[in-house]
Amino acid sequence: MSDISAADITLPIVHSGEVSAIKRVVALANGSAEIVAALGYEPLLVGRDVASTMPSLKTIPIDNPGHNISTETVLAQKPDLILIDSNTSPTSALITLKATGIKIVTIPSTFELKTIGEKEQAIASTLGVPLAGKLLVQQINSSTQKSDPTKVLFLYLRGSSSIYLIGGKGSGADSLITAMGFTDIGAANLAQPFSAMSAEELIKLNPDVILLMTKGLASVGGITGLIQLPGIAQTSAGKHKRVVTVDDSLLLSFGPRTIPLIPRLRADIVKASIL
Amino acid sequence: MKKLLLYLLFSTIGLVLFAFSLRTGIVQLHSSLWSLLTQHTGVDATTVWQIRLPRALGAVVIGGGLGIAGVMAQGIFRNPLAEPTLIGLSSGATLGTITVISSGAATYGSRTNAASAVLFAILAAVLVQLLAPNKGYGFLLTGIALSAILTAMAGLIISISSKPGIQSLAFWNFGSLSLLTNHTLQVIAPFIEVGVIISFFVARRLDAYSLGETSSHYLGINPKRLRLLAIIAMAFLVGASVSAVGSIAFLGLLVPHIVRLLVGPAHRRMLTFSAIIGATLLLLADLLARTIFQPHEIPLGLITSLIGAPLLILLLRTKQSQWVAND
Repeated sequence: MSDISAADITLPIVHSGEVSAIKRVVALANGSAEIVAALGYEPLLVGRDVASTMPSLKTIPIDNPGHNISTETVLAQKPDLILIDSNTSPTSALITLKATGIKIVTIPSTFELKTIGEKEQAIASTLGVPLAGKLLVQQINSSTQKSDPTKVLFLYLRGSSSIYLIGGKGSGADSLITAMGFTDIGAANLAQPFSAMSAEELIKLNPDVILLMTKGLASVGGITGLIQLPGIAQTSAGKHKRVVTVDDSLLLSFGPRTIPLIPRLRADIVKASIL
Repeated sequence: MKKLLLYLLFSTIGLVLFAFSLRTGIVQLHSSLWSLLTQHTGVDATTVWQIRLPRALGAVVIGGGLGIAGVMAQGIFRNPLAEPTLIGLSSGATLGTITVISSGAATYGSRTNAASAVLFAILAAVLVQLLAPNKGYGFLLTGIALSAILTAMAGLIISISSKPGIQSLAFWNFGSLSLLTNHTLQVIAPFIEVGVIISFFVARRLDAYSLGETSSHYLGINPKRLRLLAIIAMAFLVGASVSAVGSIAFLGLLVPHIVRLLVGPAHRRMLTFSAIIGATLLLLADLLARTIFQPHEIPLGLITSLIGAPLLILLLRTKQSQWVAND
């Protein structure tokens, strides 16, 4: 049992010395506030998206609670740039914001490791700070890990809503697990990003270590509740309680924090695998 | 003789389905069930004994219990529409389960959880008795209304609670055996046993009672006490199963209709048969629920409705269907 909380991973921040022409940014694209901060321009942020939950951004107001933009909140912050992505909703709010003439830029969204750079570069060029973008993207390339035979399985659990899912190919976690050098046993066997969890599937996959989100584990009643879910106790991971958790908004954030997360999570999984 | 043959026939079907349930699933077995009897480790043995066995046994115990509860409900209320879900028992049990889980007093699958479901089921059914006007369909309509209130209250608690294991309203309303483990089964089985014992205990009196309240009075039957005993029996049967697998649609309504057609109206015989048929139907439903769209599992209530409802319509159209002919 180990847990990585949001406070455990420090946001890498670059300093390019460039001056941005933008003065006030509302970052609504998933995780975009985190990237603006990592580029070294946190003071420009006047509003952030609900997914950028890292502790250092706590004082910046969230403009899309429940993933729905509050138009008035955004306008009151008088931004000269709004960052959105294809998931930003509702459309009606976007139309209103566009009508006000504020510059709105769509940032590519990412659910895997290899496209983090594109997202960071897009935000850097929108802010007019290409050097900062280059410095931030450079961190990504230095993070290839050596391979390890441990079989890891990612489970998405929300016990309070009867949501029990197994992560497969494209779950997002698969790209992390592979980058850490482990085998994502879910992705190796399941073509869908997520499939309903069943006891027999768990036994068949028989992971060595189970990867969960912190609140996901809490939602099934912690490790005791997890072991009671049919099939878990019968896997190698369940038998030895080899469970590793990561903060819910951090694990699949696919932003600058993902880079320092990888070696840290890798160490946790290696430690768990020899239990 | 005909009854003995029927008994053997349905028991055999049940046993075949039971063996089939142990054999079938996502994990392909490499060894025969026979050779697994003496094994306890390895993928095949774990899958069969720790995953499939509790589900199959659970289907037998819960299906049998719900079948019996259905016979009890129609017998005690002398009404072909009476069913545990319609008289407040299921929704009461759901509310009881959710209340203790959301308050943190018990976790899913615990003894307290099952006991609370049973208690709430009794309270709900008694409340229906007290509130219902003593004429016509007043009783069933009151049951439907109270069930709606209790289900809404359960839904309300679910929407605001984030307690582990509270599950979703869909889980409780459609039912699923997917969370059943050997442990949970051991918790609920004694409750169902109590329900079965009380049911057989009152069966003869139900026969006399079926002649009407006045006639049964001369046979020395106290209708109020009989009704309370029947409610307690049904609450143990339905409450314990709801606490572990949610409400399963149609079994309680369908099974008594099948059984009456097969073996006639004597309650003892009906109870035995309803247990066998309830168990067989639920085994079949669970087998289908987990294999049709493998690896996806379909909520059990959808299968029991899809099989149960057409079967019921078919039954009602047969000439021998006693209830319809009487009306």
